[in-house]
Amino acid sequence: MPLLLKMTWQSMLRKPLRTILVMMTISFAFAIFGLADAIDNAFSGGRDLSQTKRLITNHKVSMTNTMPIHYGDQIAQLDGVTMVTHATWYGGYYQDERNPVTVFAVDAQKYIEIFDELVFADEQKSAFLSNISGAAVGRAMADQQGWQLGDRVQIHSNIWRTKHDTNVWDFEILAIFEGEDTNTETNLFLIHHDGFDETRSYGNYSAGWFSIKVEPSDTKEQLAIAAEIDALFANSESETKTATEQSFLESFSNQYADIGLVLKMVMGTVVATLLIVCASTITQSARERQRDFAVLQTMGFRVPWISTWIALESFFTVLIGAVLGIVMAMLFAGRLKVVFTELIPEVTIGFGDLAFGLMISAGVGLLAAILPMFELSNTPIVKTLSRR
Amino acid sequence: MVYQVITLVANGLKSTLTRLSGVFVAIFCVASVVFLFISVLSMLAGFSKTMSRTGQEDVAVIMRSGALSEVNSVLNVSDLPAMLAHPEIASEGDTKLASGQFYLVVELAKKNGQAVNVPMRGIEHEETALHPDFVLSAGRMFTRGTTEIVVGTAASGQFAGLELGNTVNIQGANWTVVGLFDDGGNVYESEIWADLQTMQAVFQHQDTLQSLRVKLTSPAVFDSYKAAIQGDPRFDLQVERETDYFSSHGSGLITLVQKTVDPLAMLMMVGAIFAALNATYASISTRMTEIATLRALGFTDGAMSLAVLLEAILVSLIGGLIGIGVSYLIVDGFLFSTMNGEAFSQLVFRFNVTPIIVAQGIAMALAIGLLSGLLQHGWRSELRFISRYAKRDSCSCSLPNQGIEQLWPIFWSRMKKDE
Repeated sequence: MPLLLKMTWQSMLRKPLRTILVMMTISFAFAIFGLADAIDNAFSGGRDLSQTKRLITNHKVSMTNTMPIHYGDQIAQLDGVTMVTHATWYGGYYQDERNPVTVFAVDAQKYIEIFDELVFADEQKSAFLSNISGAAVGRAMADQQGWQLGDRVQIHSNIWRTKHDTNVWDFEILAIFEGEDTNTETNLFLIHHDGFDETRSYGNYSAGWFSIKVEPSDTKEQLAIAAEIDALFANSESETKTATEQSFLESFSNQYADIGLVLKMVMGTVVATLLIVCASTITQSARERQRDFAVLQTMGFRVPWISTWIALESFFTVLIGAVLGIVMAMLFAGRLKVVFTELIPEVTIGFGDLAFGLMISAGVGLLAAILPMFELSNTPIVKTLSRR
Repeated sequence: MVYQVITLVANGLKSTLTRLSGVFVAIFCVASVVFLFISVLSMLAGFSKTMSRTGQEDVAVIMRSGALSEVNSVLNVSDLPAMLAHPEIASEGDTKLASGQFYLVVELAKKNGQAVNVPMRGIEHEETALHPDFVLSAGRMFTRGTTEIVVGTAASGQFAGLELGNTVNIQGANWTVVGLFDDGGNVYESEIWADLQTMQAVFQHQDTLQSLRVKLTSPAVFDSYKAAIQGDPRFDLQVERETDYFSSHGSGLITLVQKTVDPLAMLMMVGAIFAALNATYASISTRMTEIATLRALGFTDGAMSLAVLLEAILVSLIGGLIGIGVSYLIVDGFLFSTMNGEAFSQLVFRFNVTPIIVAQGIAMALAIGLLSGLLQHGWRSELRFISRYAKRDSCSCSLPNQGIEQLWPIFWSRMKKDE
């Protein structure tokens, strides 16, 4: 085995320029692959849509329409419903139109209870709950905007207006909450619906959506409850559309779908190119060494041993190139993060996809070793030796 | 020298058949990079084209101040007469050329079944006067006071159930598609248009609407109209030129896409250069003996380098042309829709392979060829090594010397074992 590794190492150094070229090609392919994947993840929400026992009820016409707030009480009466809360999209931005902040006006007490992945310090939580003009800000947003506990911030709304006919509300940050884990979205600004409804000049007594905690964890039973909810409001002035939270988030991010399609195309083409380049280079480099192999064969090395040698060589070349590429992709993704924060939660490199890419290229390395092996085992040594 | 180069290039081309796989790899690499490059660029171009084609210089959009897009704006119907009582607004006979807009997004399905938000706009009869490129490509205009709709051709092509003659149920009403319209390939072609009053009634918002569009007597009077409306103490409104409204509207998405595309394009370019270098290297190393022979025959180093350079450029040019051809066939005109962040609504546009983009693709292919051809110049030392090497006994072996020495003991031990 040590001999095999040493031979692999030396044959990689045999033509260092070629090895470096192949490695660089692979590393760039992996960098592109990783980056496209990261962007694709960002556009498709990037979050792990783990099973929550939550439903979301939107207006049937579209998620931008609002519904009467009393719908919540009616939903709460249904069997299997544990708790109902509501939220309204505020359309917020801070200081500049190009600096949007995600503000939800929520039914705070219940909202925090239902979304228990938002972790509050006890005294901050009670401070926020007891003051309806206060706000609770997620860690990601506080860091991004440079806000501290106790700051007073003015948030503009591009939808609502106050009774004093401005579109600016003043909030005191009374709590900064953390996410339960890194997948939890904390780029969020929560305000009290009550305080908001008192001061807005139109749209009062309406809510943007209802979040409903349900007992069953089985999707089928959850969907049955969703159907019951929609039946409650069928043929009313505001019909509803209820879905599980996961499927809602999925369909929301799917609206960017076509961009994802283009990125998938990029990734596919890159992988195809990668495969062809690797396979051809490895095959060629093995061909050039046919006579070396023949010499080794005369010395008593078996064909499988030689093939392992070739395969190992290509595997290591791919591996080193891939690692380089992933590092590059990570560097670029770090820069992209800044671009995306306003729209999309996270630019993360999907290591699952990268592992898949790595597996494929390693597979190609091995496949490429098969061809020379075939030739070797089917050709008499003397013939290979006399080859030019 | 020139003669030598020509001979060498011709010779190289003749021998391509014998090293088909290497040349194929090089062409494939360049073609795929150019293809990707062009697809991404043409997506951006299609998007900007749609945006830039939208809006007229002499049309003003009036929204509530602070609203970033129409979907967020609210106006009172009772305020409209005061907004229209200005001499800057063009009129036809007794009617002012202005159209109130009831605008919202409705959830429909794409042809692949995905739920998406499609913009729906309630308009007044005068609306078409604000759209010089408006033309019904099929069917007829909707009748006022009915739940008939006309649909932009882009929307009709992209979303399910919006074909001519179909009926869709939105907010409890059945809307029948009676016509399809073109509007010069702009944003409006992604929309559904219906009668303003009907929409207000169906959505139970009789006294509010989203915005007002007015045609001005000339683009020059915009400033005075804007000053008059924004200075009116009764309202808190903002007035924008329609062209400005749309160019600011799409900028968010376009910068986003551009910023993501830039690093990708850079990586692709460098990656392609490496791939092409690979191919050039392979083509040289398989022709070691040939090169040495040619040198022995008296071809100069310079001529050979130049020949390799020309060959590299030629190969990547062919790759580039194939890439362009493929992208022209597959990508050009491809209907594409994505969410426009601010309005949460779908925007449909077409990939657009423009001559400039084609030129950029060719330039990219040339650059790849040139760079990879020039870099091989740096391998001259290796070339010289190759020529020396080729002169040696043909039975030579390319295993590292050190390696062979270390192999002997193993060889002996195996021999003994076999005995």
